Order: sequence, then C-alpha cells, then structure tokens
Amino acid sequence: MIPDEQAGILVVDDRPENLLALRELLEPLHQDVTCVTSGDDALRCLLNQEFAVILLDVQMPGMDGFETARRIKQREKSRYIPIVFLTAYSFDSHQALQGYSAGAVDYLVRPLDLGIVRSKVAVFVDLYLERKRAERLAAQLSKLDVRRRQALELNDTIVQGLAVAKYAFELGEHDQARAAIGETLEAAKRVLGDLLGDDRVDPGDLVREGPARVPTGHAPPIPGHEARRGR
Amino acid sequence: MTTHELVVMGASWGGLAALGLVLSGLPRDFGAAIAVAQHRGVEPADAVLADALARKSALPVREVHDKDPIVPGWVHMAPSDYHLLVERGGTFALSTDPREQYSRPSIDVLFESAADAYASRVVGVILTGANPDGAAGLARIRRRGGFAVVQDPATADRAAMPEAAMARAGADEVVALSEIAPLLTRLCGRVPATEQARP
Amino acid sequence: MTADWTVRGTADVESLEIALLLEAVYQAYGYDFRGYSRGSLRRRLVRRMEVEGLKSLSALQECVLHDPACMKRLLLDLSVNVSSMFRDPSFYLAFRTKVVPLLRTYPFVRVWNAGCSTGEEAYSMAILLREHDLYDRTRIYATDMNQTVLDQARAGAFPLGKMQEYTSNYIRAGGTRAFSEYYVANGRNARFDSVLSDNIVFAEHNLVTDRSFNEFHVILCRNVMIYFDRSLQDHVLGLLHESLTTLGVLAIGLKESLEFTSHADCYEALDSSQRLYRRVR
Repeated sequence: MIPDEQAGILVVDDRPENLLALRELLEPLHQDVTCVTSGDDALRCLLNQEFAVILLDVQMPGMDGFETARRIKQREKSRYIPIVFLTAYSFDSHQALQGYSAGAVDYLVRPLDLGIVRSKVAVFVDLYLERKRAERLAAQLSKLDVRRRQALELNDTIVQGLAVAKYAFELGEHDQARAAIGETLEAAKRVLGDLLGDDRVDPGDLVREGPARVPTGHAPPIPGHEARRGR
Repeated sequence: MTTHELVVMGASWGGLAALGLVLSGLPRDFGAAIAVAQHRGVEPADAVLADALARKSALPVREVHDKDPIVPGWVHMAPSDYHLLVERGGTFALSTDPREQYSRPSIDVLFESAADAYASRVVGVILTGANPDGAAGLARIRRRGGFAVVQDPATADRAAMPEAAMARAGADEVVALSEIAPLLTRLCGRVPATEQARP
Repeated sequence: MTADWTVRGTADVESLEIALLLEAVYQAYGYDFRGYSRGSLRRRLVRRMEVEGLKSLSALQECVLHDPACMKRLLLDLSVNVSSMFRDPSFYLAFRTKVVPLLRTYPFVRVWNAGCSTGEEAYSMAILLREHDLYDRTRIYATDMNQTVLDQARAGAFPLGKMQEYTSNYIRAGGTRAFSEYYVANGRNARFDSVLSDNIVFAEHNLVTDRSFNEFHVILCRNVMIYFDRSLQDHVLGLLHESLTTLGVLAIGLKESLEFTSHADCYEALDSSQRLYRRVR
C-alpha cells in the first residue's frame, strides 16, 4: 500500500488505556491512526488533517462527545466525515443520534466487540479510499481533457496549413507551398510549446534544416482527401 | 450563336491540378458560368480551395452561398461539406443531404440538377478521379440534350472516373486535358467585357 | 426522331409530375412543399419512388393519395435534415462569446430552434447554455413539421458511433467539460442526460403553413431555409422576424445569407462570418 492510499483515522477518548487498546485494534488495517484525549484536541486536529472516520468517546470531561460532534458537523470542512460514537451500555442510541443529518453517524456500545469495531472502521476506510481514487481519476481526466484540446488545436493547425500547401503543390506553386509549410511549422511550434508547457521546441527539431525538399511529382495525398471517407 | 450558358465540372483525385490547368486556359471574357464540384475532405476553414484556384484563373472564383445567382464568366465552387445544386431561374441551392458516392459535394447531384434546369444549354465536364461519381449525372445531361466532355483517361492522374463516365454516359468529346479549355471556349463563346457583370 | 423527342422530354414531364404531386400532397394532406428548391426535392421524391418500387412520380402520386402510410414515409423523407451536434463549432464558439453576454441581461430566455429535425442542435444549445448557467431560466422551443422526428428528438438518443465526432466538435466549440458527462451508453446509442431536455419543448410546427406562436430572444434556423426557394425564404424570414423580439438574435447556416432578402434591412450582424444577426427594426 502506498502512502498516497492511506486513510486517516481519528480516535478521541479521555482515557489513555482505551486509546492504546483501540490503536492496537486498528493496527492490522495499516492506516494512519491519530489519537487525542479531548474534544478540543480533536477539533484542532481536524483543522489541518483529513480523516476517513472519527471514533468518538461520548463520556469525556469538559466537552463531551455529542458537543464535539456538533462542532465537527458545523464546520464545512469536516461535516461529512463519518463519526462512530463509543457509548456506555445504557445509552439510548436512537434518541441521541437524532438530529445528525449530515454525513454518516453510527455508534458502538462498550464493552467493544473487537471484530465489529475493526470491520466497521474498515468499511469507512474503504469508502474514503474509493472516493479519493475517483477524485484522482477525475483530476487525471481533466488533465487528459486539456491535452486533448491542445492536440485538437495542433491537429487543426496542421491540417489547415497542409491543405493550403497541398493545393499549392497540386497547382504547381512551389514557393507558395513552401511558405505555407513554413507558416504551419511556426504555428505548430507555438501550439506544441503550450502542450509541453515551455518554449523548448524548435521547428528544427521537427524538420531538419537544409534545402527544402519539394516534391516534383504529385504531392502525397492528405488523409481524408480522396473519396474513401465513407463511414 | 452560343447555346451553352453553364459549364459544370466534376473532379476528384488529382482534380486540383487539372482544374487549375483548365481554368488558367479560359479567357477573361469566357461566355458561360462555371460550377465546380471537387471532392475533398472537410476543410477546417472557408474557401481554401477557391482561394487557391483563384490564383490560377483570369476569372473570378467564388465559393457558393445558398441562392447565389449564376453569373456568366464566374467560377462557382461547391463549398466543402455541402452539395451544390442548380435551380431553374438562374440560382444555386445548397444542401446538407447525406453523401452520395461517399462524397459531399457530389458530382452527380450537381450534374443532374444542372441537366434538369439547363437542358441543352449545359456542358458537363468529367476530369480525373478514382471513383464513379459523375457518370449518372453526365448521362442525364446527355439525355436532356446537353454536351458531355470527358478528359481523355490517358491524360488523367486517375482514369477511373473518366472511364466510368464514358462507360455509362458516353461523351460528345473525349479530349486531352490541355484541349479542354479551348474546347469550352469554342462551345461557350466569348462575351465582350462590358456585357459581363464583374465583381 | 420520335425516340429522341421522348427522351429529351423526360425531365420536363418529370417536372410536371413533381408539380402535380406537390399539389396533390398539399390538397390532400395540407403539407406544402411547392416552394421547396427543386433540385434536392426531386432527389428525395425519386428516392422514395424507387424504394416504393414505383416506375414514375405519377405512380408515387397515386400511392400517396390512396395510402396515408405511404404519405407518412414520404413526409419523413422530405423533412429529415441531416445534422450533427455542435455542427460548425466556430458558430457555437461565437455564440458563447457574443450572444451569451446578451442573454445574461434577460430574466428569462426563450429560444426557438426552428426545423429542429432529430434534435441535435437543441441538445447542443442546452449543453452550451447550461455551461453558462443560463439553462435554468431558458426554454428552448424545438419545432418540426414531422411528429416522427420529434419523437426521436424527445428520446435524446444518438448513435454511439457519432460521439467521437461530436466530442471533437464540442471541444472546438469551446466546451468546458468532458463531453461524456452528458450521456450514458445504452446499447448502440448514447442517451443524453434528461436534465438537458427538461427545458426543451418539442412541438409540431410547420414553417411554411403555420404562423408565429410566440416571441423569442433567440431563433436558430440553420441550414433549413436552404431547402426553400427565394420566395418561400422571404415568407419564412417574415415569420421569423415577427417571432423575434427587438434586439433578438437570429442564427442561420454558414453558407446562407440575409443579403438580398426581403429582410436584409431588419438586421445588423453580431458576427457576420458566423451568421449571427440581431434584429434592429
């Protein structure tokens, strides 16, 4: 697994021994586990790091789990991160979880069943990684799209220029044809420069300098010229 | 007396050189209008072909717009990706109907509509090319009393198109490429410049 | 020579047959093709004649008069106009830069796509307006004389094999997204997002015989009037003029011209090479 594909898991509990236990429990998932001991620390963490899921102890001194969750959901950046509450046995889950509309919210009752904790977290991690993968793909696609545009522009430039040159050749106007090819190369160079993001392309890289070789017989046909274009 | 008022020409593979040669041989006071369907790919910009031919010809070369009048002494080019048709009443029409013989503009479409509208007053000219487009159109021109000219296949870059035309339509004259301009000038006569509308 | 006389007369007999057939179609069914350019019309009539296995256009006339199903097939032949999405990308590019800013000044935009055929242009325009956040306050009225093509247009499905060409057109037309976002493959078709047709009203309207039915800010009538003769063009231009708000935009095909028409003085060019005009009187 490459670092790019690791998900962050935030664990919030005021008791260090619980944190230690949870960290060990999540270890086999090979993700990036961050442990903090208060709601305040959790909120701070969320400011500069992205997480796939938050495990949140409900009973904490100071800001309790529900208040922490409320604040997390208030922030645009973190409101869609799934939260799993860790609660006591007597907890009325249905009532407590009402009112959370944004993002997934779930709960686990202590004492924790280790297998269930791990598989629940794994589901959120998978979801997160899948979303990240889709985002990366989309970014690559839009990069491809830009390339495609530039390729089309290059294509148009060359086709247009060669059409002029080809007509001139066919009509026996070699000077005209030479000029058209020169202009086409200049234009192609400009577009290629854009494509490569710098100005390193020299027309000489495309066609060796030297006496222009002008066909004396008929010019080679341009694809699409003859009638066999039927689809 | 001149009876031919319209010359329609069709060309495909190698057609531009042939057209250039024919057009450069026509005099400034050429007596008929000319309409040309040249097969080619879709051009990325307007009128590249008309501009190229204009350099070779003493006559004005124009790409046709819909319902343009047919002007004596002008060379009217079918635009890329449109069919060019001749209407009664001395105008052109364009269409975006499907390709015929894989071509748009199609030579048959131009020739058949010219035959219908101009009957015996039209001359059809088939030049070099590698497909049979134009043969049916030339046949219709002959049936309607028009005059059929076919480039001698021996002088054509590609012989298939003139051969197909001769097989299907026959011809009133089969002549070498270099003889086409003088022949057309004899058929269509010359008009004093003052009588012609010049651009 | 008798044989010669007969042969030479063929086309004139044929043009008489065409005139009679068109008159019959008009009187029997109300569809008026009498003002259509004859060259293209003849080719379509002859093709129908051949497909029906008939020997002459007179026979086609008889068939059409006695068999409404035959008329329906003929109508389809005569009314389908070949188009593609974002045909003439330079036109759509000019529309983005020159017309869209004007449309922003209206609280609600009505567009008339006259002679929409199978809908390629209407969907292209919907995509374009959506990308400029104008589509939610736009209604596109896409009209054609033929119900069959309108049904096809409503379905919003075009051959999958065309998508490569359309994608290139779209990009050249200044499209800002991935074209594939707008459709899903469905068998051999690409089905376009129904969001695009939400604000398109497909309706039957005959440019030749029907009257103006609303006032529009934009009228697209591209490569439709090329099938009409001069006097029918003038008639239709009158209808379009009547249906356009003052300062509304008229778009016609790139090889069409307003010059020398009855309405040349009513418009000024927004972009003359792309045939975008604005009604000024």
